[in-house]
Amino acid sequence: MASVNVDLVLDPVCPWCWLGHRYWKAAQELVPEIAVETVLRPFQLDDSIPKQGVPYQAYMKARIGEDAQGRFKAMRAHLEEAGPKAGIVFNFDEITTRPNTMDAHRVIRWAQGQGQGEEAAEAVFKAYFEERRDIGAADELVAIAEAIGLEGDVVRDLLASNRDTAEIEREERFFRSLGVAGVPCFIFNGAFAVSGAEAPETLADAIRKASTLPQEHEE
Amino acid sequence: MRALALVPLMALLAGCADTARDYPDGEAQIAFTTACNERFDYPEGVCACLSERAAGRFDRTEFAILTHSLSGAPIRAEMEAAGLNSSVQGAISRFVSENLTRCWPDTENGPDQQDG
Repeated sequence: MASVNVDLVLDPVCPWCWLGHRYWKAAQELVPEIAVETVLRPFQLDDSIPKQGVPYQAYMKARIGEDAQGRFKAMRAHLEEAGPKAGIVFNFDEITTRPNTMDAHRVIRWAQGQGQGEEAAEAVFKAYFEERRDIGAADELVAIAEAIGLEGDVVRDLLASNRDTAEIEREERFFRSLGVAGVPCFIFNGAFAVSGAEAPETLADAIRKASTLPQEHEE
Repeated sequence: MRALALVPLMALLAGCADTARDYPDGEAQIAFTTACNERFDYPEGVCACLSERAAGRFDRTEFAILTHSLSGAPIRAEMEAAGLNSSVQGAISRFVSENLTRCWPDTENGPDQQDG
């Protein structure tokens, strides 16, 4: 059976992305006979946020708007119920800073280059949603990188530079140009996409479907 | 990377949306490039690059204000009237200076900061 390549587009400040990543891992366990390669791709839900971040609670209130507060609370309640079942703790009320996520994406990208992209993403999600850490701050990102085995000094130097910023922006523009306007978004073998933190069974079905499609080859 | 132009995206039911941004259309982007070329003597392609980057970052209203700013007109009142928060106002005000180097064809001989 053919292998499946998946581009998982995410933003580390999106709680559905953390849930979706957990579901993604569970989905792969449902189809152990199919080899799956996952590449994490960047998406910034709001790239206008300054590098130092903004106060989280006020930001979210303004972003959601008064009219949608009820729906927003319902979605949050769903996340708080579904999270623990997936081993996730969301501490929304205690998050203080809504960061700019460019640097977090860069760290994930560098970790991915070392074969640890998903591990880095998990660590960033946990730092933000569970531990309420500012994942826009270089010190926090260096600590996260060190915790998964990357060299902290190297990461600190890279964060102080513009390294890979343009590449991340280019990738994001590319996926936006395809119609990705929300995350998580799973793109299977470059052929079709599943958007949202769908259940593991749904994602497993998508893996099965992708495995039966003719393989395209990279140039 | 393969072409994915026809990816049939399912409706986003359980995800984080990019809050229904109203992105600038092609006509707005051409207006930006034209205004940029009229005001600045940048190398070929720089203004188009700036336009592309701005289109990916700002919504239609913000993009129009940014385009207006290229004429040299003050835009503070316009941003306030549009209800833009301070971070977006700052992003608009800094946009050209922050993005010029990335759009410059040869950063070794990049632009000075006279426009910033």
